[in-house]
Amino acid sequence: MAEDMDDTEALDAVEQQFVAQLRTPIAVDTDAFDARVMAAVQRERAFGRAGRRASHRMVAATTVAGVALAAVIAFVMIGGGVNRTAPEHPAKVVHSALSTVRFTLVAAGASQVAVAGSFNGWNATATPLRRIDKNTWAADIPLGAGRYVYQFVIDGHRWVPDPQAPRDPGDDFGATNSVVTVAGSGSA
Amino acid sequence: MPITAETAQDRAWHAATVARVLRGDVAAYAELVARHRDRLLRYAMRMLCDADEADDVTQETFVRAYRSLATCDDPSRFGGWIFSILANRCRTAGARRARREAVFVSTGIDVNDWPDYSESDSADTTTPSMERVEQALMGLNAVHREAFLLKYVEDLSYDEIAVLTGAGVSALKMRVSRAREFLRAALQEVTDG
Amino acid sequence: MMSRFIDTLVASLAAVALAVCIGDVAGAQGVAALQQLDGRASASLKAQVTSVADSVAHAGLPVAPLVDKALEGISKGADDNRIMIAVRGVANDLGIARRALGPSSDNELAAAVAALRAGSTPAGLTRLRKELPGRQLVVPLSVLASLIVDGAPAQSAIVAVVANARQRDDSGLLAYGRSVSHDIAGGVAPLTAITGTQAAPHALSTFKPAFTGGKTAPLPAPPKPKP
Repeated sequence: MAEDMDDTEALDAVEQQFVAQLRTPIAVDTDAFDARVMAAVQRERAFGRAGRRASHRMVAATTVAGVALAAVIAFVMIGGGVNRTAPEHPAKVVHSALSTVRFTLVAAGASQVAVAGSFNGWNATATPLRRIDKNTWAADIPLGAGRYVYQFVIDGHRWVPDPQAPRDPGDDFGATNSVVTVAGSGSA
Repeated sequence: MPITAETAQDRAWHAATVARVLRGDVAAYAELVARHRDRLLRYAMRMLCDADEADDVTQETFVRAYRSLATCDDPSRFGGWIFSILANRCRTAGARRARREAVFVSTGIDVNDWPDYSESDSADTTTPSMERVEQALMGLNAVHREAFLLKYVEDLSYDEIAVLTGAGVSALKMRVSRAREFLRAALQEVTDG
Repeated sequence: MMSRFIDTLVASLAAVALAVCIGDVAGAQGVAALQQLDGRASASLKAQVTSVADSVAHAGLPVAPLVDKALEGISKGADDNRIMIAVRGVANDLGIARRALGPSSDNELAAAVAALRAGSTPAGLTRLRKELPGRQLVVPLSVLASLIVDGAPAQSAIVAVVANARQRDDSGLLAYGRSVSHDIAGGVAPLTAITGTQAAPHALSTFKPAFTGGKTAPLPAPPKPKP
């Protein structure tokens, strides 16, 4: 059992080889890497002067944040929610036997989107989303109380997690699942 | 050598180099970059399993460290300090990547690209290939992967990892145990032939 | 004497019938779950999953999570070896979860497995059960898993979930979890996020590090994002 395993136990031969592999340095053009870092550092104000110019990283971070914000606004405008002060999780917590949960994905360039997860036997075609505008897809699914994991499937083969949902720990098959939790009735 | 187990000579060098940077010698920072680049890139790569992401995060770490260098309490332990910045950035990058993957479809995961596990052309069937190693590592969730890497690749003690991550020692030991259990099972296919 | 013999015979037959019924119910649920693999899993994979499922059912644990994991792997194109590693992992974790939580619903066990995989200790789950008596733990465990995945130290996350669960129903607890996740994604240190949003609504806050690795060197606050 995991909880009985002595963590100070010496690594066996296979583990030692594994760790040895992990300790090998990453092949990289060190001159190019160092040059990029120093170029970014040089753009910073030297010590002793006041103020900083925004780095490209801040611009990129702002761009990503802006796109994420656009997705949130799209979700709200579609009518997914009411009083919110934070990006919304698709789960609506309703104290009834079945709750209708809206799944939404902004997927530019997709021709079809489906959702697959523990609520439909991981069937990648059984639960398609409908296109509600050029880049936005949605499906309303009735779910009983419980915790479900899922991913979206784009164009039948590209699996992606839900950017607005919590992540499931562990990625047994190389990709992280998203989580939706539905409260049961009388769960106070 | 663990990043925190540097010699007195190393610590003196770090203290002196940081002091030069703080006096306005920006070029001296390049020496710190060269000194820590490989270790930081390796950790970022093992944590994020993506070369571009690891490159970006490591570069960002060096820039953030420069920006906040004046707040480094103990410049002689610059290595441990910048490593903690990197570990934090790796966690944030992991969360950010999950959101990005759906917005930018072109970077989505394609399970049709899942590698073939058969490695019949490998002469040594008992040594896991780098690809198999990376796949096994990717199978761990982030907290377990972090704990395993810090313990066995970075050679930190549990107390040092606890300071770095904010997690308790007993929780860290559990994470490492679970990571080893998973990796043993994942790598067993290699030794089974 | 004859009547006593008949009474004993009837009681024995009733006990056997009851045992068979219980066994049948457990077996029937397991069979129904395993049937989902028909047409999707290879014969070899189904046989391997069935073998593990038999052990799990014998221990009084639900079979559905194993089948669900196998279906996930099949849909994602994983090979049988990889799938069985994952299935055995789920079986193992279900056992740990049951020992930690005591009698539990299937949904609670599934959520507990997630919390364990996130990094909670079994003792942490036991504490949750003890501190929230009579409460269905699906949502508290799910929020706990989410907090730890986002980087909160496991022990601190347990304390925070217990404290918030006492003040909120499941809806409120899920809202708390979302708020914390958003703060962490925005750069707030996890430990600060889980304690800072304990009672207040979500609000963006300046970045503060949870640790520095060195002695006491804090990182600076980044520029506040423009509203």
